[in-house]
Amino acid sequence: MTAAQGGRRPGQRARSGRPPLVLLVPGLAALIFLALPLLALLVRAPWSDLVEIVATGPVAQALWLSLRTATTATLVSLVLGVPLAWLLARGRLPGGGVVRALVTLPMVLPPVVGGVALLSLLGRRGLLGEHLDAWFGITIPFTTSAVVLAQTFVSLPFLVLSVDGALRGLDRRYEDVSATLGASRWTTFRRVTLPMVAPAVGAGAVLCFARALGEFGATITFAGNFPGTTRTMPIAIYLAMEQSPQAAIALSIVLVAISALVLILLRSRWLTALGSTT
Amino acid sequence: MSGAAGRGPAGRATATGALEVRDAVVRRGEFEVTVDLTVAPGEVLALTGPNGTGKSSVLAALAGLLPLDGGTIALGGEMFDGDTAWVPPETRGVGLVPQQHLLFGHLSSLENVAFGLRARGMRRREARAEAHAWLERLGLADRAHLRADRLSGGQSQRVALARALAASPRLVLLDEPFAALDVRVRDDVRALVADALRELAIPAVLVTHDAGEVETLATRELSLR
Repeated sequence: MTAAQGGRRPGQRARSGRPPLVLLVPGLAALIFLALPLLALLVRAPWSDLVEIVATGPVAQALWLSLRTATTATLVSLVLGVPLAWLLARGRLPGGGVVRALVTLPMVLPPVVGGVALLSLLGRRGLLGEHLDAWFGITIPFTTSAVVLAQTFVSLPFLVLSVDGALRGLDRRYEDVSATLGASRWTTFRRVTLPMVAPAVGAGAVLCFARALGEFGATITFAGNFPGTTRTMPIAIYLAMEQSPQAAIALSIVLVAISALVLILLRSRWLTALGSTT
Repeated sequence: MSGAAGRGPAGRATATGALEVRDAVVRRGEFEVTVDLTVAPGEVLALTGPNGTGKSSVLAALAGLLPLDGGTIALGGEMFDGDTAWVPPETRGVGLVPQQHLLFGHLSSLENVAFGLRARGMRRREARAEAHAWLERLGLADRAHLRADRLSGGQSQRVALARALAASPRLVLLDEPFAALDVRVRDDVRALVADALRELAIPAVLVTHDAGEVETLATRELSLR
């Protein structure tokens, strides 16, 4: 290799040059299609009144409810989802493929169907809800708990699949060595497996939170629309649209900001570093 | 390095006995090998033979990571693997030094070595002191608090040795343990391991390609074909 080539390997030369128009044009069109609506949102935003709109009682209430419920849904997903991922990846479940498909289903299901399904189970006349009401006087639908359940239902799969994938990609021999050192399966999970898949747990939790925060269909079906208890940000935005589009845009900006933050967290180094220091 | 000899757990008497393997059928996929061997406490059996003859698979079977397809494995009269018996790896007390070290990268060298002691319920402070003695012995005291994934190949291999030996195994399995070591430290570490094995007085199985290693470390050789 000569100095004139600047250390470039021969293979790289063939890859440079202009991309073919057939790919360039639709590719750029897709990029513009994704970016323009968000740009419009930013342009139309009532920047001067933004703080005022967001700080009003009902909006702050919806934002606070959304953050609270999405955080709770994420925590519930972590507590239940990591063990489920372990069962899928390591548990030698009979019909593991079917179980994995079942876990994926809420991801591809229209959220409103999820809401109807939750009502069929936990509604006042639901399969379980009927008894909960009759025996314990517990009614779940149209409460803040219902919001958390709806959010968990749609977001849990994100966490499970993320952790399941990491576990299946993990070299089993580390767990084998741990066993030869006398560690029980639980100790191995806690001290070897979990720290090794921590980045995937973090990434899954962030995706889970983002999905829970945006949840609309299942929430409005199963939890309804009561200010302070079940009216989350997405529902508040939808309602605001009917009365004051400016307010809807302002609220949307807040969710865009939170989503952008989530994206930064997802890509930032501390998330991957988190996995290596635990 | 030698000044630290005699410290740490090496002097502790470990209750053990001979490793007895009878007509053990080790199968992994299409591949199958049958072995029959006895290793007395204090003896080092060298397992040699070309690549692909199943040396590592035999070690996996001894450690309890690969159930036998037939035959028996017993240690000190305790049946590990047989028609009616099965002892899982975590209760066998068999130390394994894998070829690729397989250190827990997120833990420090010290925590790696203390891992087995902690897993068996030793208190944190004691386990760390004992682990430290092992690292000192292998010339790695200054690397004790370094994360294991930051160690060089040779250092990793020594930590892997310390991790297996610190757990007071009743049998130790070494899968080409010196292959990754620098020539300059190889002889030193080999001598240290020979010392430690003598002190522990447990049976050992060593997989190697190195005729010199068979000469210096092993008491006997079994060649797989």
